[in-house]
Amino acid sequence: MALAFSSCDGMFEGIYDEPVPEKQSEFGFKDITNVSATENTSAYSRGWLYVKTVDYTGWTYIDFESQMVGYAGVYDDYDGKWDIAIHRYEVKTNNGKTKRTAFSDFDNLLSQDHLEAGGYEADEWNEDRVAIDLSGILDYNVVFLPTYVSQVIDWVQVIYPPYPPTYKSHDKIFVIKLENGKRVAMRLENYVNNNGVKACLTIEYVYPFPLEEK
Amino acid sequence: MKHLLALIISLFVFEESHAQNADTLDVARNIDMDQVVVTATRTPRLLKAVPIVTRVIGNADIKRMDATNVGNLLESEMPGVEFTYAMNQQQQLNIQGFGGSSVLFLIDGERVAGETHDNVDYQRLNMGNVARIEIVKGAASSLYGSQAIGGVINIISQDAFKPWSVNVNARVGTIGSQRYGASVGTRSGRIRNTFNVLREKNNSIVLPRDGVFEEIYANNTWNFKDRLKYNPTENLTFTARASYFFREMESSKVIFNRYRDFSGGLKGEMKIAEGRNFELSYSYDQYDKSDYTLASRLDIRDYSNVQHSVRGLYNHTFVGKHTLTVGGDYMRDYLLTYQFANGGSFYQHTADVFAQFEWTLPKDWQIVGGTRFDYYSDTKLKHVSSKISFMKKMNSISLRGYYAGGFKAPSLKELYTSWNMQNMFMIYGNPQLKPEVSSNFSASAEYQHSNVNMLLNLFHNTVTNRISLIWSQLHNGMLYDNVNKVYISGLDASLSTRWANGLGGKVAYTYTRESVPNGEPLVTSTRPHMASLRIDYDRQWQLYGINASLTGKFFSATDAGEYTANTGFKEVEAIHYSAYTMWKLIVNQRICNAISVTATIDNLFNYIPEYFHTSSPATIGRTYSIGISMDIEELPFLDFFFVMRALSKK
Repeated sequence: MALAFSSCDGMFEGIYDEPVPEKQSEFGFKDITNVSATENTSAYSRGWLYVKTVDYTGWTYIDFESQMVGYAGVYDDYDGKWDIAIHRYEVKTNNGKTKRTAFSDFDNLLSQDHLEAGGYEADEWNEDRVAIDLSGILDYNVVFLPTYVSQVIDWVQVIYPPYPPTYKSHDKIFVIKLENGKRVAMRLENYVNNNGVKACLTIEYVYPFPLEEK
Repeated sequence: MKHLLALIISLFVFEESHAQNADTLDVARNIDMDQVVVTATRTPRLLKAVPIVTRVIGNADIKRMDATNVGNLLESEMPGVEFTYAMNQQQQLNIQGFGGSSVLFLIDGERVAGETHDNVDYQRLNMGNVARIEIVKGAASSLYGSQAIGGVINIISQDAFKPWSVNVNARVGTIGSQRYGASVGTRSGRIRNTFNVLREKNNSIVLPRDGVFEEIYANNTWNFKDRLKYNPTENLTFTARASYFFREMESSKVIFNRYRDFSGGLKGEMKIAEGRNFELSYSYDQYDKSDYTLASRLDIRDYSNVQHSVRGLYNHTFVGKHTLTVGGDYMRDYLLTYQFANGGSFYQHTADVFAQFEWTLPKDWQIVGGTRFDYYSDTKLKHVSSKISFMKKMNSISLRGYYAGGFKAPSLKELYTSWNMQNMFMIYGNPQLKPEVSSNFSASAEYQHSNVNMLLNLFHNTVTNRISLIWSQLHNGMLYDNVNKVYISGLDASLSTRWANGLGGKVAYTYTRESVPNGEPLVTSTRPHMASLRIDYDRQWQLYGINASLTGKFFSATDAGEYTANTGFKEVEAIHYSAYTMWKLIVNQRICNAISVTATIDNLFNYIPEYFHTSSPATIGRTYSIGISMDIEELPFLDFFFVMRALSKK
């Protein structure tokens, strides 16, 4: 009780954690391991990609070859090289095609002899998936960006109503055939940062994806 | 051998006397008008003599229903009460047109800190060690101040009456629900202590049909509370209490929402002389919310409401029948929340004084008048609430009339919110808010005779300056603002009875009508007709007792208005909420007055909504549960053990 009197603004602050300060240097390509070719696989890089996509009004552009990350508004042109772009949890490819695998673990996937061939789908035109203005959400009045977007990559589903929305996620590996003919495989490890802020994506990737398709 | 024979006889005599007590209690339970209540006048009064209609859910009902939290219980026992899910799956209350922000919840007379979407965390109001719940419908701000517009619900804790008592209980259900509890009571000389712990676990439930929710999140709850009473003299009582509550809601695969409450208090009660009592109390309540991120294992607090309250209360009874009650409160209210700019905090001081006088006049007339002045430092708000009521007793009939003012001061959240809701839109507080005020009129007639109780209560409320969240073109976001006037009228009717053969029942009905001035949109989800029915059979033999009850709740359909456009929020469209009934069968068996086994079939007729609206019951259909409760000190073998030990000492 004495504690209560002495602390007008509450007690037991020590049982909670402090938010971890966010550093710009945390984002981008990290912890990349270059793996040499083996009998079954060609050489590839395996690593992590951290991107913050909290903004509804822009795309985050990613180029796996140069390991560069860029940003542009939804109505702006992006003049850099890019393979995929992410808006919140939606992904569009640069003339790529995508398929979902049954694997959630890269070690397991890479230990396979081959990847089953086919099953890739190109991005599709969509007018109600990429939300860019949610100020009228309580009236079901959400402004969407008509755009090509991958219908296959569904690693996070945002379901609303109710408000705030509910989130469903999975960590299945997607393989994308890029415009340059190479493939990248990626899976979503997490969609919140250490402090619980949503739309901060932790993605594990393998590039170029080494398994042959049969 | 003689000793053994005496022992066996003594055991049977003991059991029979217990059986008789239990039987008497059971017969009287539905209609026990001689129990003492405190909420309506802030002085102890017999239920039959209280000038304001008060409903009581007693300990026996709580046990019979095997209820875990106040929501289960109120909805089962009182028509007109509906708990639904608000955003983020927090429970929200509607009692005949009044939401959670207009109904004041108290634990032993003390306010409860913290809210989500204007509702307190009902899961922290657990039913372990509860003696009774007192419900006073209608405005009561002249005694309780802000928020007591639609009513006051006071949860009264149980004292330890025996030298020692230990209860352990458990319940498991078919959809993975589990509850485990224990209570320990001790009484020695001038000291009494009760300790209670309750653990509850509910798995996530995937709803079987489409709706605004796909699943109900899993919840894990811990609740501890302890209350120590010390009587240094016959006329002096000190009470110390402390409690801790923890709830974790598994709202996604990556983040769990956590809720904690720390509360404590000290109270001194002194009987100065016959008819003169004084009490002084200090209460502390801290309600926190945090997000636990599974990957980083960081538990980051983003909400804390801390309330320090001090109260003085004095009762003086003149010539044995007129009672003056005067008192005052001071509270420091601190709020830190993610909904303030930069996750900041605000605090304010509130103070009030109140006085009430109860005249007992000849020919069984009773008149009560009261007034209260409230002051809020932050907005410099000053408000006076008054009430006047009368009661006239005529043999078995009591007539009551009541006028009371209600008010709700703007909360710190409503004043200062500045929150970007998940990067979707802004929600703004409004420092210009005026208090919500109401005028409440009611008239009732109650008939009480032998084993029958009937009540008819008519009421009307005019609520002005209702505080609501609306779209603001000026701010291009949502804004807390005072909105249109609302009229809420209706009636409550109930009939309860219990017979010596063990049969009993209760039927209750409520009608509620909400309306607004012409041209204004009416946004409400209050169901106009609600009813409840209970038929039960209760018998107690020497070593065995049974209570079987069938309860049903009826909720009428309603067309709830929802805004359709954000251009001024003038247009509403009707969303149809279907009528439904929910039935529950409970069979409670008591063995040796020590062991109680309760089997429950909930949603007996397997009702599943066509579409899960927020106001639909979150049910997957018929469910089953079984619970056991054991009062260790009542176990017969303990008597045997103590007698044998006494004999061996001889």
